[in-house]
Order: sequence, then structure tokens, then C-alpha cells
Amino acid sequence: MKSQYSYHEISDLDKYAKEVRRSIFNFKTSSGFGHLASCLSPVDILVSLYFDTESAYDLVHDRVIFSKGHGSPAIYPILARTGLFPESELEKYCTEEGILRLHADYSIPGCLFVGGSLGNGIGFAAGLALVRKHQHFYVILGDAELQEGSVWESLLFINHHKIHNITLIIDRNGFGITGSTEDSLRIEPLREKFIAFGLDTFEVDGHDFKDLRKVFSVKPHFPRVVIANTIKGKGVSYMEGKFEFHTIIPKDKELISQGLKELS
Amino acid sequence: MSISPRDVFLSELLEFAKKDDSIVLMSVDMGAPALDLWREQVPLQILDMGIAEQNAINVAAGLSKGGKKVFVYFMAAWIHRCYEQIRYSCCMAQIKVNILGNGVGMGYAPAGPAHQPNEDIAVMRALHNISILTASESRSVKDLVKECLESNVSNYVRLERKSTYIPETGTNRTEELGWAQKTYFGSGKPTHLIVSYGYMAGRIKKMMIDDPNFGERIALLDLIRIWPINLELIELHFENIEGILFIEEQTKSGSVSEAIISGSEVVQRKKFATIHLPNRYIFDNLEQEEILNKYGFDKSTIYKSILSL
Repeated sequence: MKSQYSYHEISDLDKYAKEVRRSIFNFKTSSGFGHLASCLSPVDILVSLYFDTESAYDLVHDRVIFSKGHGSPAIYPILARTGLFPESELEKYCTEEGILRLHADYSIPGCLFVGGSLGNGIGFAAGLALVRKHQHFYVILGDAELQEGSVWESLLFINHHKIHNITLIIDRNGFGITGSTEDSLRIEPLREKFIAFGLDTFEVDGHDFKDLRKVFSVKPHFPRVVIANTIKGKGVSYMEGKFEFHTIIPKDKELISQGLKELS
Repeated sequence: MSISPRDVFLSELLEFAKKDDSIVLMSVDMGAPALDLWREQVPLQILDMGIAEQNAINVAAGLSKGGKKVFVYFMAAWIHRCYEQIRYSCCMAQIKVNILGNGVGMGYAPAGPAHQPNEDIAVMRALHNISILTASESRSVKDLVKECLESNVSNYVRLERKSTYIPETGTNRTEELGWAQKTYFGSGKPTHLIVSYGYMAGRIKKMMIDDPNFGERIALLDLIRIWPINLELIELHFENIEGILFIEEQTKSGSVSEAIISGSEVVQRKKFATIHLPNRYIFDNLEQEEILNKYGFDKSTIYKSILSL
């Protein structure tokens, strides 16, 4: 089943993605909690999955699992739009009276797992996919998360059991908390690594809805990984590609105002 | 002869698995005669996970979330390797997984400390939403299978690699309360109590059977669910007891007795003592029995320790 708010025109998807980013920017800067830049990079991926009319994502059966838990608040405006909780919850993000947390967990409608520890969501999703063969699981992994050894254990498992109802999406924004992934602990050549692990491997521009549509419009028959090249802090010029914003949320009124303006 | 608790557990679980296809056993680089039976009789319900403990626990959590009753089986020492996944994907996520740790304490000696977890209880009892279960003899292992299937939380089942052969004497008096079984072979009422669990408890029971003098005044309290402990019920076993000796094939730091002693005013008012493994990794090139005897778990030291109370 598709969302009643699905869009076919690329310009509409672009417009809605900007709306989602603005919402994230709003609740993150209001609260001051979390990883704003890491939430902005996977937004187009999520919008493509949930709201592109061509997407094979089934709103009733399929699930997104954030292995990269610190980026999971990116999905809150989308889950609210699908009606799983009121949009007013976004304003209550990380407050005592709200249900939305810094890392998504199973208490939040539409979220299955617990967030905050890297390298684990992929294995959890593999187990779930093995049992629930009628569902498809889309796992969002951070690129720096690939430095966790448990990820590679899970890749062996997924390939060994040919778990085809799972799509791994790498949010390849290039940065971890301390800088470039290639400076801290090199993960390239990624494509070759995934191919060597026996996965159908695709590389796309994670901000190009045409590119994303090509991979998300079909459900695979083999384990699949999508390397989505993204920009950390996408949409806010002073944050884009700046690893320093991994944990820093703008507090300065002018910076906030500029960010909102750029996302309008 | 005595069958290993591991094979008793896996065989008993297999009987349930034949009738319930939601039961899944995940073997992490383990071999056992009972596993061969699983592969023959319910091949779709056993998963070989390779040497990958972290992934095994995460996949187990996923399977459990998908409706399976999951058992992960590996060497007890490897709980440390996937501790984060147990904490995060099972305990924190409130997803039930049964973890079967084979070869607790010095069970794998003389393999060395990497294989001989003497602090597994300390680390596991630091977690929430998980029970620690153990059994002193093969017969009672079967009860643990049922508990694993029926309980609402994750379980860490400490499987002894060896089992003490305990003959059916028919002369003992047993009392079960608070997941602990009190056994007494003497004629009058016991004045002293040994609190233990697992292989060590079986060993003490055998000492009592082999030497009636040993058990004349001393009862044995065999803890089965060693964490969490219902202190109020456990304290009922201490009524009319003068002295209590806690014996654990574990280091003292983070042990079960440490929890009982610090939490029970009843114990603190009585005379008590403890026997533990030293607070260090044991590199002694000795077998389990030799290690236990070396560090004060021999009959003579135990007898002197408790009667001095």
C-alpha cells in the first residue's frame, strides 16, 4: 500500500524533502539534542521510499530499521505524515511529555528496534527478515558504522542465507564524529567489498530522486546493498560536509534563521 | 554414569521442538551429540551461526521479534564477546532470547582463563530484564528448559560441562522455595547451611551422600535461579540456622553471595563465611577438580570452614 501523500513528480518529492528537513531542523534546534547533520543526509532516501509513487515500499508490511540510530529522528516527520502519531509530537521531541526520543526505539509507533548502539540493527533485521518473508526490511546504516566488525558478521550471514527481503542502504555522507571515514579507519573500496561479500551492489546519488527511484522501484531477488552518496548536513549550507556538525546543533539565532530560510 | 547437562538440555528441548516449530536453536561453533539429533530430526529449526557471536545475538533478537522461541548456544566464556548485543538487542530492546552458556566456571580446565569464565555471573547480573539459571545435576536441567519456554524475560542458562553423578538415595529431605532447593540428609535438624549452585552444589551433595558425618548437621541450599533472587523467600531457608557458608565457583566480586549478604539483614545477623575462586584469571595447568581443591573447595576445607562458624 502507498501513502495517500505520494508524489510522482520529482519536483514535488524535492519540495516535500525540504519540508521534512525543515521540520527536523526545527525540532532539533528547539531542543538542542541529537545529531542534526546526520539526520539531514538520509532524508531523500526516506522520502523516496515512503512517498515516491514508483517506490516498491509497502506502507503496511515493509519497515525501515535505523541501524544508524543517531540518524533515526529523520524518520519522525515521515511517520507523522503517515499518521502513526500526531505531527504535534514533533514539537515535543526530547521533552518529558513527548514520545519521540533522541534515538528511535520500539516504544515509538513505526519503530521496531532500539537505537543508539552501532552495528546491531543489521543483524536484528536479518533475523527478522528470515522469519517474516512477506515483509521487506530497509536497513539504514551509517558509513562510519561500517567500521563495526559486527556489520561484517551480519553481511556474511545475509549472503549465506540469501536473505532477499532485505535492502541495506549505506548513508555514505563520508564522515564520522571525528572527520572523514577514510582518515579515521578506511572503508573504501566499498563497492568492491560488498560485491566480494556476495551482495547485489548499487551506487546512487542519495539526493537524486531519479537515481533513488531506479533502485527502490523494484524489490530484489537477492540480498541487496545500496550505497547512497549523501551530504552530511544536506540543505543547510554552513553545515554541509562539515563533520564538526556531527554533534553540534546551531544555537546562534542568525544561524538558525539562515538554516530555516535555506530550507524554505 | 552421568550425561552432561548440555546434552540433557538440548535433548529435552528437542522434544519440545518436535511439537513446536517456532523453537529455533542457534549453534555458534559448537558440536555435541545432541546437536546431531537436531540436525537429523528438525533440520529447519537449527541454525549454524559460524564463529560470530555478535551477529548470532542480533539475529536471535530479530527471530524472536518475528515470533520464534530462540535459543543461542555457545561456550559460556563468549558471553563477554557479545555482551553489548545481549545488553542492547535483548535486554534493552525487551526481546526475549535464551542464551545457553556451556562450560561455566572451571569446566573447560585446563584450557586456560579464556575458556574458564569465573566472572560470568558478575557481568550478567549487572544487566536488566534477564534471569540467570543453573542446575547442579542433569535431572534438574529439564526444569530449566520449561522455564526458558515459559518465562517472559531473556534467560542466561549456565550449563555445566560435567555432571556429578548423584545416586537416588531416597533418604534426603528437600524443600523448594524461591527457586532454591534445600537438601538435608541428617537425622535431626540442621544447624548449618551451605549455599551453592551448579556443579559445586552437586559436588557438595555427593560429599554428603558419601560421608554421612558430613551431612549430619549441615544442609545444602542449591540455588537454581541465581539471579534475580527473591531474598524474602531465600531468607526463609535461613531460619534456625546458626552459620552459613557460601561456596561459589566464581570470583567474589559481583558474586551471588555478595548480593545476598549485602541485601539480607538476616544473613548479616548470623555467622557466615564464603569460599570463592581468587579475584584473578587462573592460568594453572590443572583440571577442574584440581583447581577446586587447590583453592579451598575440597571437602576438608569446606567442613572446617562451616563448623568454625
